[in-house]
Amino acid sequence: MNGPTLVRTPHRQAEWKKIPEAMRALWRACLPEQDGGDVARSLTINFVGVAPAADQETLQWTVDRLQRRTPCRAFLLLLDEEAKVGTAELAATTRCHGSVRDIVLEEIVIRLPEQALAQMPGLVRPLLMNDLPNHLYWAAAWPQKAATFDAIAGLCDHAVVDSRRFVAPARDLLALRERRAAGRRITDLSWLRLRPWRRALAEAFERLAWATGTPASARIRHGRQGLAGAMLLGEWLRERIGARIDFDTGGDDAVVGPDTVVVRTAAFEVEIVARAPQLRVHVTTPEHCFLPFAVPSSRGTDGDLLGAAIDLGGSAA
Amino acid sequence: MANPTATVPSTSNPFGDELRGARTAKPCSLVIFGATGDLTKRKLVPSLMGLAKDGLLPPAFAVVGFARRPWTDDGFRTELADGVKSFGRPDTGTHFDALADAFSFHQSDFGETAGYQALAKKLDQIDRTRGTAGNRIFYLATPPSSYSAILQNLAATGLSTEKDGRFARVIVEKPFGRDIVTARALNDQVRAAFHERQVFRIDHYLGKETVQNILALRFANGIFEPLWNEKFVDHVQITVAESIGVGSRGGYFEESGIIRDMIQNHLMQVLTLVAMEPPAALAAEAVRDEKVKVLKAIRSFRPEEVDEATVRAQYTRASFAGEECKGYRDEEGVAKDSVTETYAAVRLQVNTWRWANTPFILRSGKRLPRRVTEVAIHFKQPPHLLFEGGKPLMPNVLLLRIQPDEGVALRFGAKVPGPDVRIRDVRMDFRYGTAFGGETADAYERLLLDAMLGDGTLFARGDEVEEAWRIVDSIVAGWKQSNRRPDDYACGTWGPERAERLLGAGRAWRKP
Repeated sequence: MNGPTLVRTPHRQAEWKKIPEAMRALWRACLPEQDGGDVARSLTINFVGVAPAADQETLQWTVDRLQRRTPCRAFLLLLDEEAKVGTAELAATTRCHGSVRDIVLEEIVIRLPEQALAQMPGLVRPLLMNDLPNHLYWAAAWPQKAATFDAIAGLCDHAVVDSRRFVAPARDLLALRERRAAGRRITDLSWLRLRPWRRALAEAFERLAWATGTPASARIRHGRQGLAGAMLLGEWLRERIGARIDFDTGGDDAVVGPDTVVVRTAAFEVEIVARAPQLRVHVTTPEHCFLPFAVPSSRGTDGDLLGAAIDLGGSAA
Repeated sequence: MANPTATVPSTSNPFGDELRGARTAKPCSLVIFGATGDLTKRKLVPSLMGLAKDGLLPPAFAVVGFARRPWTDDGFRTELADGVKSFGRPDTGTHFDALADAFSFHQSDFGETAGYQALAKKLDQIDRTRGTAGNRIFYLATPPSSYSAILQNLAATGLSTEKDGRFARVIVEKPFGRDIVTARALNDQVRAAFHERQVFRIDHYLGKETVQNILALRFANGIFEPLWNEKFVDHVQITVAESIGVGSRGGYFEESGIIRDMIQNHLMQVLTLVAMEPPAALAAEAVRDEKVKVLKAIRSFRPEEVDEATVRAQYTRASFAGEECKGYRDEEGVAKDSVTETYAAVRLQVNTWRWANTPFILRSGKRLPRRVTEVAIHFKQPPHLLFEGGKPLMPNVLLLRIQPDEGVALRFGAKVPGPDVRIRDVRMDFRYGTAFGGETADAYERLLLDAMLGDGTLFARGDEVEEAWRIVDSIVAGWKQSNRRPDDYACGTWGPERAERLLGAGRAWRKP
């Protein structure tokens, strides 16, 4: 038996005020051609994505990946300073398996300048499917006016950000921390990307005797895309083992996150090096040079991570 | 380089929580006996690569294929790479490439002790070179006739012995015997080499997400469990149907029949999960204790009861799904006067406070209209029938679909819109595929990981297997004493007519 196939409708345009009618037309378009067929909507979340218009393709690919595990109604808000407000593009994706048809993605794409984001809560709120959790994916730089983020995040139960995109991570991560402290549920994809590093460190420390208070230092090397991840990892190491952290910006620019981490004490050294698709871990003590071991360096695409973030529902840091 | 297994135990890993949440297994070697067979290529190694993709394999890991054929390491790896490509999850090929040197081949006869001594040396060497820390898992992927020799040799060479905190485990594939006598003999052989806690009897049904979801549905939700008893449940139907015939397995099937092939293991396992009491904890022994209690609460049939409480049948020639299908007795390797059943339905009574008077009706067959596995909980009628002149309505049914279209559905009556008061059945439907997407891990992934973690919750315990055989043996004995031949059913139908009577008045088989 063949697996399910995904069928996507062509995009259709609608004025903002006519989005509900346009969506009804979409559902009709999803019906099978033969008489008596039916289609169900199997949506499990409302999803609001915000990204620069230049990243539209990436965002749509991510949402396509997301809907495989999390069927959703997705509002994709694309920031484009040249955009004329007032219209939206709509499309739907149906999963077909034998005679069973389920709408697994309803997509409403809206282009708008950043300052028009303030209008979006009023537009989006009535269109959210009721009784479903609402998740925001902020796939853009931290906005110049933080109130913009707050207005959109206020629509949602949980926000996912990607601090890799932050222009000034030190400042912007602080802004995130303030919002968490105020009770907002926020998950950072950069933190989820560090999961293999955290596991590698945990595996390495299984081989070592650690005493709280031992003076330790860590050197984290990263490239241009890795600053936010490096800072989060550094903060975590500081909290857990009180390590003094040095950042080395000479790392691989193509690597999202750190490319090398070295943790040292007088009694041991742990070195972890990114060699896709693995992290290679070397543990050395004065007595032993342990065999290196490896853990997978990635837990999947941004879409997979986004799905994981949504599953966590904001319980992660 | 120093001895890599000489790790210093740490009681204060400052990052230990990162390992606890991830169900990370300890370093280990996996030895697969019968590694040149289909199971290794189609299931075991693709599943291992699925675990690698998800980051769930231990950081130090090795696989040794043990078989009679004169394969080389490279030949073994080529065969496995092909298997991962054909049968693995998408994108797992790169993980095999990265781990290929962790796979090696060991040629030996299963009965040759010297082969095991050489294996022990090889595993020691792997511990030194790959850091597998002396932990071993032995997977018996051979025909059961080889189990005895393998188990004896593992014990004789000390490979089954756990010492210095290192584990040794054995995974045994079904069938676990062909009756209670052979099951006990096998259990005795296994226990002569391994302690019960080291033994993992694999029934891949228990690795399916939807089977595990039976526990989640019952015990993670407040709304179902209060109804989960004889006060509200009229009866339970458990169906495992296959649309295929016996094909080239006629010779094997003649010796087993559907009752040994499916009911003794898969259906009984599902039955125990549906009928068990809530365990004190979601831990292996607590869950398995409760499952065994269910089986113990089903009494063996007396021979004279069997005809009334069971139905057996054979498929007969018919046009099915656009082709002419052979009858069972025309299949290759099947005797013309065979009485082996290709369909069986069994009405069981779980004699507990919870289930008194609620029959559990199990059926399984080949050449049924479609491949489907499901549990249907049929609820009782409301005590006072207000609608449609008081005539009985279709009962509410909670349906747990295990395959395909995995999910849960609830059937209930709703008013048909309009001026008349008429009730029609409608369905609330949850499908795994749509709620969580299509790509779910193969059952073997979950079970291999659990074996590495030493978690036996989803594996059958020796006493469970024996209790299931006790029940099945009493049915088989009754059939042997009976003068009744198996009934006939045409290929592509839901079984013989007599099966309808098994349910009792007012009940009907589902046609899923």
